[in-house]
Amino acid sequence: MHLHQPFEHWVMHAKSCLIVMLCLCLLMGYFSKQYLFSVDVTQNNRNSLSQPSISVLKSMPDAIQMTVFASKDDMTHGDQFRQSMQDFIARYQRTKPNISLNIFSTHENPALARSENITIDGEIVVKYQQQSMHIFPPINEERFTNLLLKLSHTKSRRIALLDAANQSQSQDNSDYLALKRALNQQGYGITERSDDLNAAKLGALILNTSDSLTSSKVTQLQQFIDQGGNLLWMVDDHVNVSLSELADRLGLKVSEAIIQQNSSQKISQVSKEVYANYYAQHPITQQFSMKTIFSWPHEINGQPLVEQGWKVTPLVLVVTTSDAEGQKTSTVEPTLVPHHVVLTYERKLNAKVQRIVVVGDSHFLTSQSLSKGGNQQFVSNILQWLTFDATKVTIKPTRLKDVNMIVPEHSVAPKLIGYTIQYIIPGLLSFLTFYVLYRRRKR
Amino acid sequence: MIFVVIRKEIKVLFASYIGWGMLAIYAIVMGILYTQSLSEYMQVMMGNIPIVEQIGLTKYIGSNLFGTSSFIMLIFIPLLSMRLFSEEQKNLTMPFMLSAPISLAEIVVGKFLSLILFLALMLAYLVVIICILNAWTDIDFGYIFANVLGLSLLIASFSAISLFFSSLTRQPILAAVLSFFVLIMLLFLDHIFAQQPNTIWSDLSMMQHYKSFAVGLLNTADIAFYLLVALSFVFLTVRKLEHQRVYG
Repeated sequence: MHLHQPFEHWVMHAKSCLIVMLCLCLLMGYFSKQYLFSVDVTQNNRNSLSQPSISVLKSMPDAIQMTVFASKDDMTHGDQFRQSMQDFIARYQRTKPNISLNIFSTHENPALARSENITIDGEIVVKYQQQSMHIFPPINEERFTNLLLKLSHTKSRRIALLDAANQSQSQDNSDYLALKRALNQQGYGITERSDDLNAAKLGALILNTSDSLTSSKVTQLQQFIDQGGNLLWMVDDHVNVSLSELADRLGLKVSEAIIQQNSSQKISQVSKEVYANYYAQHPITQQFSMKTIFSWPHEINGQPLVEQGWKVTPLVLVVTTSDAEGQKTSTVEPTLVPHHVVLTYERKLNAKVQRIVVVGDSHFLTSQSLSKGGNQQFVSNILQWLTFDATKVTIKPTRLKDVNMIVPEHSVAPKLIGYTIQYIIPGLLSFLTFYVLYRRRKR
Repeated sequence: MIFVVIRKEIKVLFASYIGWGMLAIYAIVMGILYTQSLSEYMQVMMGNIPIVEQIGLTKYIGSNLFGTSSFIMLIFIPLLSMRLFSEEQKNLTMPFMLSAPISLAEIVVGKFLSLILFLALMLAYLVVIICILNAWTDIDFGYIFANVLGLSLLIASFSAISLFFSSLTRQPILAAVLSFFVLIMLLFLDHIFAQQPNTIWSDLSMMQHYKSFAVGLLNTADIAFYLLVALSFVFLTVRKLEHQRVYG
């Protein structure tokens, strides 16, 4: 019995050692993943994000979900599309560990691809605080960071929709389906519950006053404006009655007559359709060269009181010929008459900038109207301006230091080194191999 | 005593044609790849490429050479390690080794380090041929350092795994084949089972952990992974030989 004791002791010792070692390995593996630290040691920090991107990520404390819809990599053909997407997002994940990433092809998960309205291979859906935005390839740091910047402005990207004609049944307002879809795609959160119009919580309010607002709504709206809320206001001549107080404060005058254009009648055969002729120099119309089309446009003019502090810019001008208004005679040449149909208001209120855009067409945001010309893009630009969403991050790519190779033309050294690496060293080592083999055989 | 084992093993390697042959094959492959990559780079970068799409010379050549090296090691290491214990068992020299006045841990660590030192020669050659380019351009030494560290850790884990398989069988060829298949499985685990990131397969995949080094990143989790794999298998080899010493 005594003889066996050391052996049993050894067996026990060996087993416990193995268990301890395995547990230790698992624990160390777990902690190394939990307390991750990585350093980019490359010359230009090519694996790290630039400072603007890091700042944007720091302003986003909550988790970000990313879903990439990319086809599977075919390693036999050197296809690394999915891998490149993964590597790109890994740069963001290293800076912000609570970024989750899922990769699917549309074939792998067709239901999800359909529900997310995926249109092309490589499309990424980024979700943050119940908002989502899509980005399409080619993707680079500047574009991706700007998308995150938009998502980080969650408060300013919440938009309320209040239509006076549908105050009681705003939940089922089908007139604005195209608008809602477009805004959702751009990552705006839309609320149709207009019970609480709080300027601090809303990026902007879209208001249509083709009908009268209830008195409580009018009070709420006035408070919203007093708090510094941003407003996109669709008006027609009805405003002179229902919201006259607000109109007075903005110095807003809406013509009773609808603008009619000769040229539009000829082109579209629809008498009320009016084309915008001129855009003012403004952030909304910067790089915007499409036609905006109005269905029921009224001429609007804004002359607010000086103490209100508003700076008014007539944004869109429609030009009609005098014969459109029935003034043309056979002997007199038709004269051009300009009409303002969109105005922008801007002022500083309590160290904050407040913005209002007034459109003289209460039908401008309907699905039918948005499908015409550049209307949808124009509305998108307006909302970007109202919600201060036009802020962009510019990231300049840094030039790599080892891109240019300067080899002296008549130098022998490069050729010599090339021959040494390609022929002399392998040749010498091959000779030694055969020499050792020969000597061993000889023995 | 470890140094005695290392010296003995290195001497054996250089006394055989296998050691020299592997060095020669490695030099031939690297020589061809090096000149080919260099001429390709000159042709590609001659065009007017936007800054965002430009690739540095170090990365262009380094990714080719270091990437190929990792695959060469996949073949070389099982072939070199098969003789470390399997051959000793086959030639019946194992009992002498086990009864020598040296601990088992020292024997295993000595053999493990000798293998790494031999392979480090190839790595050193690779570093030298890339660094020569610094005469004509501003080479990214950080990128090279990360790749060298990554490849060294990969070599250490491969060697530890192969050493363990060498201790399992008396047949050197069987040991080599077994370790080759296990290594290739571990290397491509994530590609075989799934293409999703953050899965258990990608956590266990050798290649997944090598990727960060390959782009010039030093990551504590990846370093810990390779060290843990190497340590675990060296430990398992010691345990296996201890078991053999007790049971015979």
